[in-house]
Amino acid sequence: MDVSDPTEHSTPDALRALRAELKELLVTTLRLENVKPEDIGDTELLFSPEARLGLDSLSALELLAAIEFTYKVRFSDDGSAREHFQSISTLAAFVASVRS
Amino acid sequence: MTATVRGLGVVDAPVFDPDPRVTRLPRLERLAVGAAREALAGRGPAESLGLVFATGYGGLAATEAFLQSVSSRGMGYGSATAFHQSVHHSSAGQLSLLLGIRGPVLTISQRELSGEAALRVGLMLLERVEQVLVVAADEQSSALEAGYRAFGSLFHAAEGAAAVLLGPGPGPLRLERCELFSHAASARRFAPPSRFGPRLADSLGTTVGNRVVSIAAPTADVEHAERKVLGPEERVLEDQAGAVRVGFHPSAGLVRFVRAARYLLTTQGDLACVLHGLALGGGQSITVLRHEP
Amino acid sequence: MRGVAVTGLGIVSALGSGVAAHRDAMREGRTGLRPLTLFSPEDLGRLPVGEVDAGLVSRSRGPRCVRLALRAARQALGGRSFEDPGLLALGTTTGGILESERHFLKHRGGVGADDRALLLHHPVGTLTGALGRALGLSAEEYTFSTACSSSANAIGFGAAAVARRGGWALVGGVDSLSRLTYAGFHALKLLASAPCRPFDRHRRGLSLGEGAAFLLLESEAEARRRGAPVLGFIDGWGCASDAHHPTAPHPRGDGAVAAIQGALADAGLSPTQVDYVNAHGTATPANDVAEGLALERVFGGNCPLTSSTKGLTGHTLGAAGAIEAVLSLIALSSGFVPATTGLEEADPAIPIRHVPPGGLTRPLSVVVSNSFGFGGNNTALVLSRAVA
Repeated sequence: MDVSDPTEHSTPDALRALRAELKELLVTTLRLENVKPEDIGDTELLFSPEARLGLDSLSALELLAAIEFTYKVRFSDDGSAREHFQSISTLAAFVASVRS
Repeated sequence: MTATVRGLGVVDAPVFDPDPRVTRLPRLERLAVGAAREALAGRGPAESLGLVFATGYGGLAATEAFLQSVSSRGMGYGSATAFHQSVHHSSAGQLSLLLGIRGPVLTISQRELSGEAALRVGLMLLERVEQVLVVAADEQSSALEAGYRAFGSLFHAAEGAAAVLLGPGPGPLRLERCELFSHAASARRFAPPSRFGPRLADSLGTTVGNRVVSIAAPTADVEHAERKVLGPEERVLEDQAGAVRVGFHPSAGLVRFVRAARYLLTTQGDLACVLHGLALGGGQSITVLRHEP
Repeated sequence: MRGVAVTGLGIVSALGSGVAAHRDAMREGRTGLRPLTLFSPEDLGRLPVGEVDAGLVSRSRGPRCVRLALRAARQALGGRSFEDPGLLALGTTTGGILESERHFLKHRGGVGADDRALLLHHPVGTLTGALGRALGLSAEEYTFSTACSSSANAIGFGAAAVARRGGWALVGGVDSLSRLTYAGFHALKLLASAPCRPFDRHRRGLSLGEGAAFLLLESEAEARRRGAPVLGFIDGWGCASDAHHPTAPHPRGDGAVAAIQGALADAGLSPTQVDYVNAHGTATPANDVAEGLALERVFGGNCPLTSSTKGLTGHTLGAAGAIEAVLSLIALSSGFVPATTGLEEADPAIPIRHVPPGGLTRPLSVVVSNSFGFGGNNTALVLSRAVA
C-alpha cells in the first residue's frame, strides 16, 4: 500500500479497525478489569460524570500518553484535546486525521 | 503531651470495602483506608478532626511503575496515574477525601519511625483540633525486600497499616509519652546498643507501675542487645501468650502500638506498655501506653 | 503563636546563594529560569527551570538534595551550636530521588547489584538524618512530605513546638530537579514550555525549580537574652484540606480559605492587618483562579498587595514553602514588595490586587505566605517583621 496516500487511514475499514484498536488500548492502559473492549460503544461517552465507565481526568491523561506513544501523534496543549476524548469515534477520527 | 486513645485499627492486607472508590485505589492506600475506617468506627460526628499519615516509603510501587513507563516509552510518555500515586501525600489526600477530613492533613516520612513521629505530630495537633487520626502504612515490594535483606538478617519484611484515633477526655487507654531521639549512626545501620541502651533503661526507670515492654527487634543481634538491657525480670510483650509478632517494615511501629493497645485492653488491672522503636540511621523512640480501666 | 523569633536564615535557589543575593534578585525582578541542563530530558526538550548554578552545589559526595540543604542550613545556623537537643523539621517531596532514579534507570527496573543504594536515598526521611549528622545536631527529626506545602508545614510545626516549650528548631525544606518530577508534571500536562506566567491571562502551566531554605527558630526571650539578631517572627500556621478531588483544587478554594483564616487566627490578627500576600501562584490554569477566589473570600474587597515569586525561582515543590517564607522575611526586613515576574497581562477572572511591575518600596509589618499542595493540602504562614 502506498503510505503517502492521505486517505489510507480514513477508509471505513481502516477507521473500524482503528476504533477496535483504541478500545483494546483503553482497556489495557487503564486496566479495566470488568470491561471487554468489544462492549464499549463507538459513540459511548467516556468521561462524563454519568458515563458507565466512570473515567476521571487522570485516566484521560493516561490514555492520552498511550495514544501519543502508540500512534506517534501529539495532542495540542491548548485544551482542544478534550473534544477528541468524548468517545472512541471522536478519538479515532482525530488519530486518523493527524496520521495522514 | 498526652492524649486518650479513642480508636484503633490494624490490617495486614487490603480488606474488602464496598465503596467502589476504594477498590480502585492502589494497594498502599487500600491498606491505609482499611485501618483508618476501623479506628474511626463508632466515632461521634461533628468534632474537628485532623489527619497525620505516616509512611516510610510511600508509593514505592507507583514510583517504580512511573520510572518504568518513562524508561520503556520515553520521558514524554510517563504514566500520569503512576506519577500521581508516587507522591507521598496522595494517600493522605485520598484518605481525607474518603473520610471527609477537612482539618489539617499532614504526611510524615521518617524511615522506620514514621508512625512514632506521626504520633508526636498528632499530639501537637491536638492543640489545634479536637481529634487526630494517625495512620501509618507501608506496602511490600521486591525492591524494598531486597534492600532490607542487603542491610542484614531482618525478621521478615512485611506490609501493613495501623491507625490510632487520639482525642481529649477520659478513657481507659492513655498515650502517656512518645519521644524521639537521634543518635549518630550511618544511614545503613541502627544505633548501637551503647547509644540506645541508656535511653531504653532510663525509660523503664521512669515508668511507674506494672509494665510490659515491646521490643523493636529488627534483627536477631539488635533483639539480643535489647533483651540484655531489659534484663531477665522484665516482661516482654512479644513473649506473652497470644501476642502477635509483627514483621519489620517502616510502619511496624504503629502496628505494634495497636497490637499492644489491644493486648492492654484485655488485661484487668493497671498496666503500661513501653514500646521501643529503632530506625536505620540511628533514630530511636520510646512510647508509653497506659491502661487504667 | 507569640514570640517565635527567626534568628537565622539560609537560602539557595536559581537566584543564587544567601539572603543578599535573593534580596537583589527580588528588587531587580530578575528571573532565574533557564533551559534545563542538569540531565538529558530526551524527547521532552530543555524547558525553562529554576536550576541551581553548578558552582553552588558542592562537589562533595552525597545526594544533591543533601548538598543543597547543607548549604542553606549552614547559613541559617551561622556556626551556632546548642547545649540542649532541639528539633529538626524538613519538608521535601522527593528527597534523594535524583540518585535513586538514576540507580533505577541504570538497572531498568531489574533488582540491581547494590539495592541498598536505592533504599538509602529513596526514603525521604534519610535526608533529614543525613543533615542532622552532617551538622552535628542532637534533635528530634521530622520529615514532612505534603507535596507543595511540605516545608511550610515543617516551619509551622517547628514554630508551634518552640511556642509551646521554647528551645530551638531548625526548619525548612529542599527539593532537587529530577527526571521523575520533570516527566511527571509533563504527564499531568502542568508543565509550561515557556517561563511560567502566574496569574496571567495566557498562563500555560508551571516551571519547575529546585533549591533549599532554612530558618533557625528560638523563643524571642531566649534570643534577646543571647543578644542574637531577630530577623522576623513566625506568628501563625494554618493547615486545612479540601477533601474535594484527588487532583483538582476545590473550585472555590474552601481549604485555602480555611488555611489562611486559620493562620490569621493563630496569629491573633485580622485580615485588615496583612500588608502583602506571597501567593502560591504556580501559573497553572486551576491553581491561580482558585487561589484568587480564596483570597477574595478571606479579604473581602480589600485584598492586600499580592504577588507570586515562582517566576523568579520556579516551583521548588517541597522547598517552596521555606524558600518563599525566606523571601517574605526578606521583603519584610527590606521594605520591598516584589512584583510577579512573568505576569504581563493579568487574567481578569482572578480578583487579586497585583503588585505593580518593578515592585514597590514600602514598610511592611505582616505577610501571609501560601503553599497549596497536591491532594488538596493547603497551608498558610503568617510572618512579621522584627521590630528593633
